[in-house]
Amino acid sequence: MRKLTELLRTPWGLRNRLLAAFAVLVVVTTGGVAGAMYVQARSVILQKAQDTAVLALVDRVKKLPPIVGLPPSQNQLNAISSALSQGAEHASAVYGSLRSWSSGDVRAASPELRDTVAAGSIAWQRMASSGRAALAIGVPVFVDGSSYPSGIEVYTVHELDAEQDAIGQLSLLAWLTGGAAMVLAVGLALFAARGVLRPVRELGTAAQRLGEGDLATRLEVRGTDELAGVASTFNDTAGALERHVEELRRMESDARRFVADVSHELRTPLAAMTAVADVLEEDAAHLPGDAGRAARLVSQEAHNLTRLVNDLIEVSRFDSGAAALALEEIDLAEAVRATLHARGWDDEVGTDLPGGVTARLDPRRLDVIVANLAGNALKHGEPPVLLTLRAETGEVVIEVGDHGPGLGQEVLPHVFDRFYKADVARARSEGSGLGLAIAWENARLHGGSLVAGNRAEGGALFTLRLPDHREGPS
Amino acid sequence: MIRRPLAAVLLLALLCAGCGVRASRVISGVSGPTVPAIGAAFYLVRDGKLTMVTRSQSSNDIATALTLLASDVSAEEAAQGFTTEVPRSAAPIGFAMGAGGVATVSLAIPPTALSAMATNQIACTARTGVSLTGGGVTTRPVYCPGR
Repeated sequence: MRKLTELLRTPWGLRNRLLAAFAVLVVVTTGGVAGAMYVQARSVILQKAQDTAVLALVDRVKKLPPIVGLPPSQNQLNAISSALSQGAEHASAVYGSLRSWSSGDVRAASPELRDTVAAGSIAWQRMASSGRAALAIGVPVFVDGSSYPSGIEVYTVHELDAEQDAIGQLSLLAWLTGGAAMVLAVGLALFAARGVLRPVRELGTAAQRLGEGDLATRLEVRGTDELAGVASTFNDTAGALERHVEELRRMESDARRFVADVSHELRTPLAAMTAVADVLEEDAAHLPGDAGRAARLVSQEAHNLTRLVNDLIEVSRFDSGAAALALEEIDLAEAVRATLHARGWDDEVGTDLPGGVTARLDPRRLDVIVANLAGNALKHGEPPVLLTLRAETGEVVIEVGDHGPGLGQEVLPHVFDRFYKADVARARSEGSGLGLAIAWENARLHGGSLVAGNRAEGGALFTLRLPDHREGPS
Repeated sequence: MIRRPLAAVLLLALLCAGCGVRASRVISGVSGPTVPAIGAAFYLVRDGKLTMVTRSQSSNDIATALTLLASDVSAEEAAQGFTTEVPRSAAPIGFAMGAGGVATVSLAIPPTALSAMATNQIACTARTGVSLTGGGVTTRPVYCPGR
């Protein structure tokens, strides 16, 4: 059944083409050879039978008793007819419109045969009706020494049953031979197709596995033919691909480790710098002119740098897989309110926080996500910024929307990229450029999702979905 | 896609049609065998054509047969439409085998008085080339017209 559907699906696949080629070869060869031999043998058999039958009748006519009178009487014609009828043989005698009493043979003769015989020639004709073949023979009788036919004609019908049987057997033999050759050819074609198709199918499967990421896939190289060459090339290619991918992975992990190391190394001196900058900023009011502005600037940038380094360390943890969840049962409304309050955004962000929505989440990471989303909306969107919370089956949904121009189509796919700046002109912002990326990683760590989009009535809309982790008795 | 099976079916049909014993046209061979006849054999005219007639009572030689040409046809022969165009006045008819396969047939009347059919009756009955002579006229050898 599987093979049948396969055959139907690829009507001119390799297997079917081979089958067709072999079948055509057999039909042409067997048909040609067997057909020619059959036709030749049939013609020889028929010719021999016909000649024998005609000669036998002529011999019997020659041995007829002398003709007693012309024109012959009915009795004479009957006598001739019975003289020629011996055993299984039978014949009719004719003179003009006069016929011997047994006239079946002359009735079987065609008008053309009658005409030819009347003109003085021995003639015969093969007749076939309803599957039986017979030979009608007509012989004109001459009188000794005369060049004119006497007018007496003799007809007989010779059955060709034996010859027909022999020819039928020949034909049967030819068909059987052809059928056997066809079966053999189909078997050979299938065998040849399997020899080609199995390696091809293996190659296809291996290529698919390779495409799915199993770079260790290799083919078994059998024999030394072209297909073995293909398999060997495939193995070489897969090996090279595996080496390159390994190299790339190693380089990427080196780069990440380097970033993590640098961030860690920067943290200690930064802490010292920040402390010093803070002291300087406190005294900035007492410093004259430019020195005061410089002190405030240094302090501001030291804080920005600290935030950037902290974000980098956070991202490095995600990349190295070191980030872990610390789940607690929390009330979402309270947690969100606390986040906004801590940032001083109580008045700037409108909220819709129904009580009683609880879930098992990591509160620190939830805080990071909400703060980043709200901060992003406040910074880049237009007020009013609205934050809503709702519970759905198995998950909690937090949406943060603003009333700004929204996100452009070219921006949407890159919103969560690291250091992506939607507005190139505003390259210098206070943000690290990692906020949304970290929020996205946190959502993913929870097994949830963070999606950026636009509201129908304008403005960007970020939708956070987190599973409430309530499965289980806890 | 469609044409190939069609061609295969046509080929198969052709193969099957060529099988077995089929009717043939009329095949003609040599002229028919001869049998002896008893009595005199001569040619009369029926329906404007020469037709052989034998009479078993008469002896089987050409001179007798030629004589019969100039006599009346029998009642049976007349009933079947046989006539002779050789007039009774041509009798007696003589027959002498000559040299070179040409016989001489002597008539009581000039051969020019005979119709072409009568001449043919004589030539075919004589079964050889004949010169007709009579009334001082002798013709060139005439032969039974081949079929």
